[in-house]
Amino acid sequence: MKAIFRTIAISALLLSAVNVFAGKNDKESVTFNVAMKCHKCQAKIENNIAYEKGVTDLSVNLEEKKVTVTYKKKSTDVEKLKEAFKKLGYEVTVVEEEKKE
Amino acid sequence: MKSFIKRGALFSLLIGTALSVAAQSAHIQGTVVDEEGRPLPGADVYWMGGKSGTITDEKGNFDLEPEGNLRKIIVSFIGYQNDTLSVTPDTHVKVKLSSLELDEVNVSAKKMLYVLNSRVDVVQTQKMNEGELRRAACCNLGESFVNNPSVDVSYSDAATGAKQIKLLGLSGSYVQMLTEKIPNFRGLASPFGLNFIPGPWMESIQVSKGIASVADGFEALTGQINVEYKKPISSDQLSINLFGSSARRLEGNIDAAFKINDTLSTMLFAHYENDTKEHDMGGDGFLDQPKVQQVNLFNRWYYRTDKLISQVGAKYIYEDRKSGETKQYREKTENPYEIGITTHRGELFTKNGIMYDDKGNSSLGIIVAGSYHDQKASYGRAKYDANQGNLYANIIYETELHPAHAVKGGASFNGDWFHESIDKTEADANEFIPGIFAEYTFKWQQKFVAMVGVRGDYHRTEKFFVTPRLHLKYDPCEWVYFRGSIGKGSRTTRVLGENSYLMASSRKILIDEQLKRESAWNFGISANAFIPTGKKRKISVITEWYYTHFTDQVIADLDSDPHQVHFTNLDGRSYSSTFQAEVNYEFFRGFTVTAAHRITDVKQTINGRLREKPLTSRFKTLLTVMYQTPLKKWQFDVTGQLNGGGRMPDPDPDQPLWERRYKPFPLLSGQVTRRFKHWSVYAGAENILNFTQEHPIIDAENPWGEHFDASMVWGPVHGRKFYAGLRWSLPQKD
Repeated sequence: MKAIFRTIAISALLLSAVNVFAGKNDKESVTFNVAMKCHKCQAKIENNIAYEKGVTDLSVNLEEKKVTVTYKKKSTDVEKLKEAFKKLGYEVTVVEEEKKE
Repeated sequence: MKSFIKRGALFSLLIGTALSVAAQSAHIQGTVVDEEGRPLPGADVYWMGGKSGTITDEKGNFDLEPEGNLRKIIVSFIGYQNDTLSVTPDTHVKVKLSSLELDEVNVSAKKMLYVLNSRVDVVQTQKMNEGELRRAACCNLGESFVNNPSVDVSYSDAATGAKQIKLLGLSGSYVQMLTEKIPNFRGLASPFGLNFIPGPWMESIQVSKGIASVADGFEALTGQINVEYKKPISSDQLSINLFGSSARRLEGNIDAAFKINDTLSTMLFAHYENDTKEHDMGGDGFLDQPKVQQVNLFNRWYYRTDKLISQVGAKYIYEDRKSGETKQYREKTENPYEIGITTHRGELFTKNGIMYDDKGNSSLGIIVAGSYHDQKASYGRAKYDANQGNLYANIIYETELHPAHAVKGGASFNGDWFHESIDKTEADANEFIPGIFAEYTFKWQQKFVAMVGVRGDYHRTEKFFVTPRLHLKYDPCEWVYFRGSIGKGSRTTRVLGENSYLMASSRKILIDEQLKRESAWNFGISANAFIPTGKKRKISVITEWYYTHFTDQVIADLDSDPHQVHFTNLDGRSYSSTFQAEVNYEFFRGFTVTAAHRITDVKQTINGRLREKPLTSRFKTLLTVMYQTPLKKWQFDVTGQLNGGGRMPDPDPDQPLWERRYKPFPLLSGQVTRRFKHWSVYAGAENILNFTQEHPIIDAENPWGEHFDASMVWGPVHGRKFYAGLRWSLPQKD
């Protein structure tokens, strides 16, 4: 049985690795300022933006009111994502990246 | 019940008096705290029907700007009960949220919270929420514990499909089953009660171990399992679930919530299942599982004002199960062995919480529930018809004298009208138990909690009996906390009603007269620790030990004679000792593993000898693995179990038809879920390794002979099964 668990664990690991590395080049991330107020709003954004075309990852920071979306450049762009937020009732602005580091 | 009252208290929302602050702005300011008065940072505060809102700061404070003429705010926090309150501008409000379900793993909305181990509750409680319940096929309550290390569910016999739940290695009759914190499925309903709650109706299940609060009665010797149904205020407008399995079991579930106005809402539930295909994979001529048809309907109402919360519900269940020899055999013989059980059950309940001071520090809870259960059963030639009526009432007054001292007191009544007829021999057993109780909770600096309770009840034969209980919790620092509990519990056994499945054998059933009420002391200690493994992640480790010592018990002696079962009073020692360790860890984003191991030692004095309780596994190892893709569109779940060997009832020494012991056996199941915006599909397999107990029915070829016995079951009776299902829901409008 151990062997079975090991196989499953390894395949799950591989699967996630594939997710991370596949076509890294044609993906881009953008962070939006979103005037969300509560966890319910967060859930609403997570449940809807996740299903927008081209979106591959999503991270919501409620405290800072920021949403970072990773998307495929081929399938969508910042404007389309803004539109998607608008449909949910949020006017969003792009957070300008601080390229200091 | 405790939570119901607490919830009531907090629903009152306003804990601090509304203080008038200098009227400079029309802001609403306030503080959000948990039950113990600790500030809750990150809680949501927003206008009901509005667009704006805010989040509480590190000290639990908020400052909400006005929006139009809106006067109601909603305060919510993950793992807590939502609260709605009316506010007047320029006031400071203190809101106390019911913290029963505080997540100890990591309070974060990023993570879907599946299993919560309450850190606040003084009784060790684990909450399984909807996400957890959807990790497996989960067609009904009995099938919801696949991923749970503490609760075992097994078939009672190989013919009727009756299931028993085990907690701390002891059978389900010692576990108090509750629905919405009201005791349910007692006596006659206990063998099949686990099938009476459809999975998609459930919002959450709470499993608490050890002795419970005295406010819930004198039962609950080993723990409580409470089911919360979906609520009209927090559920989707409409949900539909369809399920089908390779064994051709079909199920349909639908529920719909209606908000009639601000104070009144209702919800309707319907369930139909049809599992009427005959299977005989073992080839012994008997159906592997009964053919079942069930109709289940439920309607609940929710009414709420600032001072009153009132809930009313009505449920009806019809179930028909048929089992015994397969069609092929039935046609061959003139006298086929058949089992038929037809059940009608109705339930009614009302729960009311009244807050009659402005501070919400005092509340009155009134619960009244009734049920009627009618069962007509035949096992071969034996007929067992029975019905049970129950009336339960509980009144609880709760008040917080001071943040450190809270007092609860009340009175309860439990009445059972029990009628049974075995092959036309009629018997009645009615029982009325009135009682009173008091409970005091002391809290010291959010580090130490002591809850001491006592109740006195009056029973016809036992006269006045006392049930004392004590719970302690010590929470010294962030990375570890401890609990301890000790207390007494007792119950009346309905021997035939609770063990009716034993009639699926040729064993003679011998029941001693003057069986005493069962009673036991339960003692438990547990430690929860969190070991940091980096910036964000922690390994969570729970270790616990529970010991149950019976002072009176009804023993089912299956050993003295392989052709009989003798129910008799315990004469000697009887105990259960269980040690369990559970480890949880999220290895990387979305990949969570739970591993648990339990050692069970249950012994009882049977016919003068202290022996291992038969058909009880010595250990259980569980490993569950869950992986969710970053957007949670895909979810993979795998669960493996190893259930330890155990003793079989003594076989006939001259003609042994079964082994003296059974060996450990594995169970493996898995499921894949794909989520879409409003719907999801899932497919999975149960018992992937296809391990089944060989010859689960003893001497199946001769059901009318003296050796026939379907109750010698220790392992899975059904082989590998595949299933698939669909869930669709229409979310509520904002």
